[in-house]
Amino acid sequence: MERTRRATVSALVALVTVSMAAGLSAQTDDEMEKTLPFLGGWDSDVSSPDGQDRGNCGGHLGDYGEDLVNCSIPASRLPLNSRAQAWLAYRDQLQSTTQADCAQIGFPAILSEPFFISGRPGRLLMEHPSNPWHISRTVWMNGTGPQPLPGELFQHGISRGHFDGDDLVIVSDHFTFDPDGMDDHLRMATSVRKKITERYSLIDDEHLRLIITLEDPTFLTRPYTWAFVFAKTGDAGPRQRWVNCDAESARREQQFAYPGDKYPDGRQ
Amino acid sequence: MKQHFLTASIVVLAGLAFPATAHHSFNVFFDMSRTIEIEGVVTSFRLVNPHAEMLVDVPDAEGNPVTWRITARTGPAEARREGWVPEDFVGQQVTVEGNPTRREGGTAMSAGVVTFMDDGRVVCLGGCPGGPEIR
Repeated sequence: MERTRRATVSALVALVTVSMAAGLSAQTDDEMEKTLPFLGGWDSDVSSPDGQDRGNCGGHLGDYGEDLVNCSIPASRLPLNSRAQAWLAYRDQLQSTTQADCAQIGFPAILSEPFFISGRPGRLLMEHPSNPWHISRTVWMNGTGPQPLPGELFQHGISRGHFDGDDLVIVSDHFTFDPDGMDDHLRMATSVRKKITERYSLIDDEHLRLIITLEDPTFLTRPYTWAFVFAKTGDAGPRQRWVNCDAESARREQQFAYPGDKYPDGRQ
Repeated sequence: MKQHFLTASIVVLAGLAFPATAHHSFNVFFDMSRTIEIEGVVTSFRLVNPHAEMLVDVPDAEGNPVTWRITARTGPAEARREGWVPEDFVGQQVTVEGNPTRREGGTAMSAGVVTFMDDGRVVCLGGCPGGPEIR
């Protein structure tokens, strides 16, 4: 009787173990199948045909009245609130953390750049090379990964992903305040209330569309949505050859060359 | 100071399209439609990101050295691939041709063409034919 009970329990344990393993395997296979078309390198269609101006800065002007150029975010219809307008009026080029202090460019500005996705069960690694930085982030899939507490903040936030049908959707929040967080060329900040939703949809085997929605009630009157199209570049790239930034040299670049003198006592 | 404003004509930018990764807008800092030339002695050449940086002492009207900062339009990895070695530049008398800063009285330019005075060797620091990849 006792022997029979032990055998039954052992069989049940074995059955449950096999079932769990099969379930995990099926989940991983399904996850891999969905993820595979997105893996590898992607290059954006964003270019600057006249040498600099992507035409995205929407007529915004710099400290000495120069046209701001080379924005990453289409700025012409950005729903900036009065606080954001005040921020733009206050900011100056020499304060740019990304351009004068070698701070890494943030999201969403980096999302116009080429990127590379590699996958593993429960997570994606997204690499965003952009001179002189190479930003890597983990996208925690389907509820995996750390769950930060309210107030636990990171420059690039925390990114969590899932599939909505065949679309890869990534939602990022828990960002720190970032002086160049909306766009480093517009010099527009983002607050800790920033939330970014990225929706990646395959157009065909070689192209995908990225639809970005930015929310930040501190600076925007409503969520703002825009899109980019990317072309597949394969497994080779994009990659960054040498990742470093010399802050002293970067600051000299601004101090020597920038024509604006908005805060004469603060040129350093 | 020997400073020739060679031309105020529009520099042909065709074929010089920046990669999408440029996050320091040259056009904001430098007047890309003008070209100037300076002559002086290279005191420093650093192959760094975001752009390789050359310092050149150019004598002013009284003969006092004025430091000009030359921003190469490329990064250190591309510079190394071009075979640039800082020691080959430092101490050399050169002319540098490039786009001047928009800052009034500023002593900076984006390069440009460097010509060594001793042997006539010419090096493109980016943005000119035969130069390295623009960053």
